[in-house]
Amino acid sequence: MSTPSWTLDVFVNLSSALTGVSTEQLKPAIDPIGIAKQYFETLNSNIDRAELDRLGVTFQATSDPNKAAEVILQDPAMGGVARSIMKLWLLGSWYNPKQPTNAVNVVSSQAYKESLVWKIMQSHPMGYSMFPFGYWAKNPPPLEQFIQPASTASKP
Amino acid sequence: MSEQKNYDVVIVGAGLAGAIAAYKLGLAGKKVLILESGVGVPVSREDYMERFYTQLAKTPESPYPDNPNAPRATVLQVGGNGEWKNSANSYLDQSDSTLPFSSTYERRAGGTFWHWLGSSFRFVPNDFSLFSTYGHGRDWPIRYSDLGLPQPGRSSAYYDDAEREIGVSANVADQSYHGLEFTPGYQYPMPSIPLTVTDQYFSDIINGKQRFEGQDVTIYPTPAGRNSRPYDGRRVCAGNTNCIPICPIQAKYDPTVTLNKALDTGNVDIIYQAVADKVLLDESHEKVAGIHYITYTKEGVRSPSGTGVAIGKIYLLAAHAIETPKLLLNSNDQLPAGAANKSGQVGRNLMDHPLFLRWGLTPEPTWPYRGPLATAGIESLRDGDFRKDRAAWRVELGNEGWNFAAFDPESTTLDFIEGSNNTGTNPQNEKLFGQALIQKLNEHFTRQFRFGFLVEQSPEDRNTVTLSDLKDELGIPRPKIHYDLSDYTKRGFVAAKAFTDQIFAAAKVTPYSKTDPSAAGYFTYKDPETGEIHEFDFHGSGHIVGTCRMGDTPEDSVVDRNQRSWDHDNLYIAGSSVFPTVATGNPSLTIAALAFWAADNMLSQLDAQVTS
Repeated sequence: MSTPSWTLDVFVNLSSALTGVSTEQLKPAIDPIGIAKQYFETLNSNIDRAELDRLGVTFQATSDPNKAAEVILQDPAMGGVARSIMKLWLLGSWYNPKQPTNAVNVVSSQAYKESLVWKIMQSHPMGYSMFPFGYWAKNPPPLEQFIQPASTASKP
Repeated sequence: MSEQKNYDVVIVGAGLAGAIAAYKLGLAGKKVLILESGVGVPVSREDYMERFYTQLAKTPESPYPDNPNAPRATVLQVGGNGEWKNSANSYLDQSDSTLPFSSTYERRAGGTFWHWLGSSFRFVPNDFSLFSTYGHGRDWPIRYSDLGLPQPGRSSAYYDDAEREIGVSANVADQSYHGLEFTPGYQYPMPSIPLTVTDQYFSDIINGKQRFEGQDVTIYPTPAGRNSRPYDGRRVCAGNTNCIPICPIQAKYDPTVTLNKALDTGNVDIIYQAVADKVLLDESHEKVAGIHYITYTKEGVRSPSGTGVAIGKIYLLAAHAIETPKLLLNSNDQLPAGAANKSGQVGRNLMDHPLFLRWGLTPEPTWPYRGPLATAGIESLRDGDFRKDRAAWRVELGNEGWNFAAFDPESTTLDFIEGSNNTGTNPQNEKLFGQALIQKLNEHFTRQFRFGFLVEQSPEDRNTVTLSDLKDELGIPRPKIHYDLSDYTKRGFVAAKAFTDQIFAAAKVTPYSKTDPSAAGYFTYKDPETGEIHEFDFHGSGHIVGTCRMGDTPEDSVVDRNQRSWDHDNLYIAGSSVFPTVATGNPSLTIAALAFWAADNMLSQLDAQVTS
């Protein structure tokens, strides 16, 4: 049986390389929200299967995920899709690769709340704070407590 | 057509002013009917939150559904490249306006206060006498002491009552600038909201160390209608950084609180989805005989279902400063100029605080996007001799980074993914991913800062709400707007720019403000002495005032100092419509204080009618 080119796991590994966030943070073992699956399905509904397969094949062909991501981002066809993937994770919104600065929609209310920019800024989504009264008077915890960096190790 | 009668008071509008008046009247045993054009209080605000989370543009309107039966302007209708003039795309007809009126309001139970920020300022004493003190604008027929100190026979001031009902968090010691005085021994209901890291950074640099045009520059905590303790059955603020457009947990006050108390008195009825369209007068045209309204069944779809007339002894219009004059002007079957309009001032003197944003990056992280949207501001420059020459402003320190100023975090994220430079922060057109992108974004987001200048707009009779020939889906004329800014106000912008240059330099803030000539609010000002042309663009602050102003004489005002119409002695007008000037503070607290006073006036009149 040949290795499938485009699966949820391939998507999560690619997403980790593109965003710099660990796969454990993008798709935790215990995952009641399932945002990775939501984004995976958003991609599958909007991009041709053939393009996604090519993306998956290219990513898996290089053992260094960073190098693979670089190659993909510089490719005229795949680069746009990869950037749309980054925007899904960072902003919770779907951007058509052909219209890279005009979001089509917010994927879901969970997507908005899970979007990574809020963690990157060491805060919370506007409109969703689980912090206590007065937290804003002090410096926030360091970035490492919000973002678990992607492993930079090459795949075996 | 149904008839609702035997009421003491009929109120149009279940917003802040209407709810407060209904509550006071209901408590005193008076029978009140409220007509509200929009839908009632939702069982839970989760529906509004879900809608908010899924909107791409997080505008003030974003949580609240559109309603073709009770339509309203939205920020998205104020489009750049001249789109704001296109009356096919907007509720307000601005096709003949010079500049766009850019503030919006809500038509539903609780009203526009669903998306107020929470800032609860008293106007300073000289705000009430702009003309006699500085030779500009107009005087109010009342003074600070009428609202800020107890009137004869009362133990609390109207501002005190407003602060208690809303639940304002502040310390008197921080609010005693520009001659503000308080009831002896007065304490705000709750202590001040803690300052953010951003506020503290600027306070350290500014307070006691900066002067501008001969005055001290001082940052003060902002008094806010936001719980710093559990209050009135509501939770403490959790810093959702979302006050506009909606507080997820109702730590920020909204008038549904007061409306529910009003309904609980047992003396207040309310008809939702009842759009008042005519004030009916008796045969002499001296008294109001009823309010005609149109009902509908479904919020999201044009669905008129009938009509009615609401009859009371006294009437109170509290539909905010665009719908109230529109209602009066539309009442033109009996009087061609509309009801309550012998002065010709109904709909005139429309004002806002045109809002001027300036933004930049602090040299070290100050971690914005945390806490309430604003917790501090510069109040020390709201008053002074300069008001003879140019508009005053208060300065709001934003806690939301470049969210409002530059559509962040989206804009900067797109810049560094796409290699563009729309924000000005990516001059090398870097295209990043992975760890490098995270580091870059973190460096930027954690240092974003903005000032917002709320500039005092002059009252001008050329700034008007009139009736458009265009109608809404119930056949009611839409509001037509003419709006412009005076040179006095534009000179306020010039001073704001100079102030920003000074303070940003002192605070080592790298400026990134841009002025976009295609923006709806773009305008220029030519300095008459130097010939220099200044470019600005402004936003609305959400402060709609002036269109049924109070005054000393019936010739040039709509209501007297008691907020009663000069023309019809059983008609009162509440809310920001009655403000003769926009003053230097956000209008909400003054709306509430005046509503308490209007309620007392109506009670006195009702009781006098009984005994006479």
